[in-house]
Amino acid sequence: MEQKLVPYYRIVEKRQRTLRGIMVVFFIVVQIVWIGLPMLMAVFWSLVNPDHPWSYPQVFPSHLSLAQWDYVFKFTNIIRALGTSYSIAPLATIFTFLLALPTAYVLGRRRFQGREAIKILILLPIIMPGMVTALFLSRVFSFIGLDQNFFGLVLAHSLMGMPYMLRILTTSFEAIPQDIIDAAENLGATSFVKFKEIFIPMVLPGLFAGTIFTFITSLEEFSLTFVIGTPTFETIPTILFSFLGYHFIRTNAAVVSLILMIPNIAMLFVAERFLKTEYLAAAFGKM
Amino acid sequence: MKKCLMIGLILLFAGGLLFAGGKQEKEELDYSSMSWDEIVSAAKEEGEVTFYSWWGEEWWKTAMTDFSKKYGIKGKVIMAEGTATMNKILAEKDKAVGTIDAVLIGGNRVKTGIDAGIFYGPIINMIPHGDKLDPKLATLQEGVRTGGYLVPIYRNQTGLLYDPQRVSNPPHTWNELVAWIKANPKQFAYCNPDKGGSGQAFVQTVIGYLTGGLDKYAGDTELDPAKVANWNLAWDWLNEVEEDTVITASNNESIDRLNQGEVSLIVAWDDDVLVNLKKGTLFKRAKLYIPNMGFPGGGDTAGVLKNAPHKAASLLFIAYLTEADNQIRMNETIGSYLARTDIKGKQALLPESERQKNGVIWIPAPYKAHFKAEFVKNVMMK
Repeated sequence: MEQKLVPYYRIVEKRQRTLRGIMVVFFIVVQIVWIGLPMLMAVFWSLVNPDHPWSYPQVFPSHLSLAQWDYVFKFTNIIRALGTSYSIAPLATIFTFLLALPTAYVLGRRRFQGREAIKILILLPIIMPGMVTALFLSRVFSFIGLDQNFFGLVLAHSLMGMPYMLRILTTSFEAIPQDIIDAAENLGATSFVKFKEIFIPMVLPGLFAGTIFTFITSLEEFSLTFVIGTPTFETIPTILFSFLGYHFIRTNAAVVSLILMIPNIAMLFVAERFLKTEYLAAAFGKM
Repeated sequence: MKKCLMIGLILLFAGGLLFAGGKQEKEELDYSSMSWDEIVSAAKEEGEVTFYSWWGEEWWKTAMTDFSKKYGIKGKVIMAEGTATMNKILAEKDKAVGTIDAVLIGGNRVKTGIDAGIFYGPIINMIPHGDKLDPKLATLQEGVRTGGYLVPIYRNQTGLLYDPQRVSNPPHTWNELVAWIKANPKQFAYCNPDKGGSGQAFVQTVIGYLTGGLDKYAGDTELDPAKVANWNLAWDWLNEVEEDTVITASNNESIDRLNQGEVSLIVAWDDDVLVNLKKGTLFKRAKLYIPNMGFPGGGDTAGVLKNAPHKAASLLFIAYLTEADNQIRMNETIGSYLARTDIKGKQALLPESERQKNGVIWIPAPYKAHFKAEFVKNVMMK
């Protein structure tokens, strides 16, 4: 009987498929352990019934209730904080974009002395501890009358989001191939046309990533908001930190964390989908 | 365009200065020379008050709502992590008018506040029930002399908390505790004293028992190096039992580990235990007691800031918190024990007789600061 030989490429394909399968399973397990389990624990802790504590040896809470959620909504200013957080974040993101775009263009497309030093200096607000930055900046904000002020908070959040937006946009501008710009110029494109047809579509993925980072940084910013904003303004993190500090209360902290987390996760999923389809295609389709 | 931008910036800058200057012009009233009725009138005229606290929102919000109804003064309670609040206060310290009126002060931040001179006062004699508040806490808060600048709001006490299903005969004396720890490895937990008062209570007890008692430190305002020369005995013992004990990162982490069955005996604050029982994060069977060897207790206070925009209203709110009815309501709501000694509350894990018999005072602040630092150096880093 003639033995049929399996071609080598088939063996390689099979091995690759198996490896891919293992990697997918590994990735799913890691995601469940890394993200799913903490989320699930937060959900359970937020639903603990105060009359039936969740204690050893119970694996899951024996009774669930919405008492912890009710408590947070009743005894904290969470509704007002939600309104403030979600008003500041989009405005801060737009403001950051407007300030970062021209700076990123210059840093990404022009060569001048001290350019690398500036790029490092931009990262200072995220290198320094948040409270240290907040304490120094609060003096400046207070001096110019921008503490306890909504615009002051938008500006403060923009400053904290600026390193992300600026670094990502700078890298995006740097990555644009000079050939495309030269070709456009040869075909008579004006500065406006170049900007509209080349720069903007090609930095869009970076812009989108920067927007997400800036938006989330704003939503999670605590130190500066606390020092220059409270007592006039409270945001979600200022309430969350009261449950996380010295007097850590797991159940209430779980509720506020979920309030902060759920809209962000939803937004990330939407953004991820949008980013993959529209902008990457728009940007790299021209290369 | 450039000109417009420059003019805009100058106007903004000038506006800021004008705004800051305007606040400074307000004349400061001397409340210490006023009668209480005059202070109440001044408070109503101020019309608002902002109070910062780091826990117990259920009580402060209820109290503030009722206070506002009673006096027609708009009140705001901000719940914020205590260290962040202290940082904010220190950041605003040099401003003529700050943004915070009154603040609840915990033992671990009182030294920072008193040393920085952030409080207005002395105020304890200005409020109507000042003389009925616990005299020990009105004088010393966790070893720091408060000089009447801080008003006791509630008392609390450290003790040993255990799971009665796993500990049938909890230790009461020093020798019993040592024997219990050795017989039950990894079943006793206390928190890093740098991170919580319950850990400080345990380390103070260790120092007291191994280095010749705590009486010799009484009344000291400065650290006497000769008196701490033999503290190495305490560090040696803590290192010796490190394998048999669990050091946690906060007061509540100790309670959490007990709740999860990891340990069965811990050092805890009575009000922390009550909060955890109410929240469903600690099993109802948990028992708290002050061992006969003695564990320190104290309480928390409230103060008015030197640059508070509404000092009279702050004094009135603090006085409101110390009224008999409100002290009892506070005790029923958050479980903290009354600062008033002339009345009794119903909610208490520890009976008053046990507090009086086994509760001891804190070691003076310089020694406490020293042992917190030395513990990190000699135990945590070894």
